[in-house]
Amino acid sequence: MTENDLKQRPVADIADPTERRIQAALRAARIGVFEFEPQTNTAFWDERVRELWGISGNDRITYEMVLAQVHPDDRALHDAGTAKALDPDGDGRMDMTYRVSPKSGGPMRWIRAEAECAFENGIPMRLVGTVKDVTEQREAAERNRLLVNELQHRVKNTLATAVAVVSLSREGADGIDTYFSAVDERLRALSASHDLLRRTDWSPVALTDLLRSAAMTLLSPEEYRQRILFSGDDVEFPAKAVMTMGMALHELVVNAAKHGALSNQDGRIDVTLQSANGGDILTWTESAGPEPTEITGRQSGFGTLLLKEILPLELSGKSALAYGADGFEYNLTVPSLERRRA
Amino acid sequence: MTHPTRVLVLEDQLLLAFALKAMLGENDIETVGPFANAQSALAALDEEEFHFALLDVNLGDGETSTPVADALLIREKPFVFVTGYGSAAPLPPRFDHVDRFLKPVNVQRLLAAINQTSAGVQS
Repeated sequence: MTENDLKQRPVADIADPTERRIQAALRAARIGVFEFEPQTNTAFWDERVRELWGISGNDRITYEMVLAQVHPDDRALHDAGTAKALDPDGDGRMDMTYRVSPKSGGPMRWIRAEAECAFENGIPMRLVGTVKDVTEQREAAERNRLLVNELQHRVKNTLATAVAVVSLSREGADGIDTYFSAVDERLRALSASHDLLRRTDWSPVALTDLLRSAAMTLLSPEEYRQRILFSGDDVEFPAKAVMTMGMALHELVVNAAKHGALSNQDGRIDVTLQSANGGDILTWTESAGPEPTEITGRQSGFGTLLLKEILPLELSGKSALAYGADGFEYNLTVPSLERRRA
Repeated sequence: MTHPTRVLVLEDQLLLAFALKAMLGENDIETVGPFANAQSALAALDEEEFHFALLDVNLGDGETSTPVADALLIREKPFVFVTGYGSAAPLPPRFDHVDRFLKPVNVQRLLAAINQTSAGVQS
């Protein structure tokens, strides 16, 4: 049986059951079979290899023709892998993965070639093996690599943020216990923002979700509904700003619980978001709380820095903190935000 | 009369930037910025007086601090890169001689680098 017979006859017509089974299995696994005779520089290919290289017809296939379709960056690898298999002092094995662009056009593919060489008196006679298109596996591995890279980046950033929180919380702390509980709460707030980002797969997060997440660290769902009232447009914050926004809302809630409208039984907080002058205004207005005083104690450093400087800079906006007759007020004016998608 | 050392900070993660600013302040170093993007930092280069710059490499949305680094090279201002990526940071070879700091930044090493390069300026 010659190579030509093999590729022209349908598998079902092959008389020998073992041969028929092998051909059917190779076809099912999309594996191409080749044989290369180094002494005559001639390769025999089946249909599948011809298809991968984009070379049809019955021309004699030489090593140079094989190499011509291999990606220029992979040719040295192909040469070395072949030389290793043909080396009489080696193990005669070939196993390499490289890129091939079909001569007939079409997209570049990743090919894995495995073969074994037969020697006679120390002379390589026949290199016989298979080729398989492993493009999908390579692409999946590449996606994995990028994901792991991105994950590493995020872990590093999160740790660096935690270090920043630990460092910035020193200001205003008057002892190790207050310092510890402030850091502990803030890292939990950071973690809660992280959960929201994970849930949206690092897409924008809605203001009301951030607000609820910040409030729920201190309030029951019932208290949240009764004492923090949101009105206006729900908007989304880009993933990059979510940590800062989440921590800022956390500071507002904690301040209210310690000194403001959440520190008594009757106080309430109105949170609004409205468009104005081409941008958006977020307001936090406390009422019916105790007599407002300047934020004091351990919250003054970190919370004030976050609300006055960091958050406005993060969102390219402006902020104002005020102690009105009814209670503490915080206003944040920012360029127009995306409205929450349904 | 001696002037305080002034360090320009370019860092898009603002919590980190302000922690850096606080740390520098504790060591009598004034911060110029922090700036969250290359554009605002570039605008400040000729407006603000400073002796040294800290540049975060990746500024988000694919932006990097290399335009600012190039502008600093032209002005012969000393600077270092700060990165979360380590050696995988996509920096062109022309910055090979520039010192790099991994986040979270080792404060003592950073202060040493600032003091070394700004010593001549202060005296």
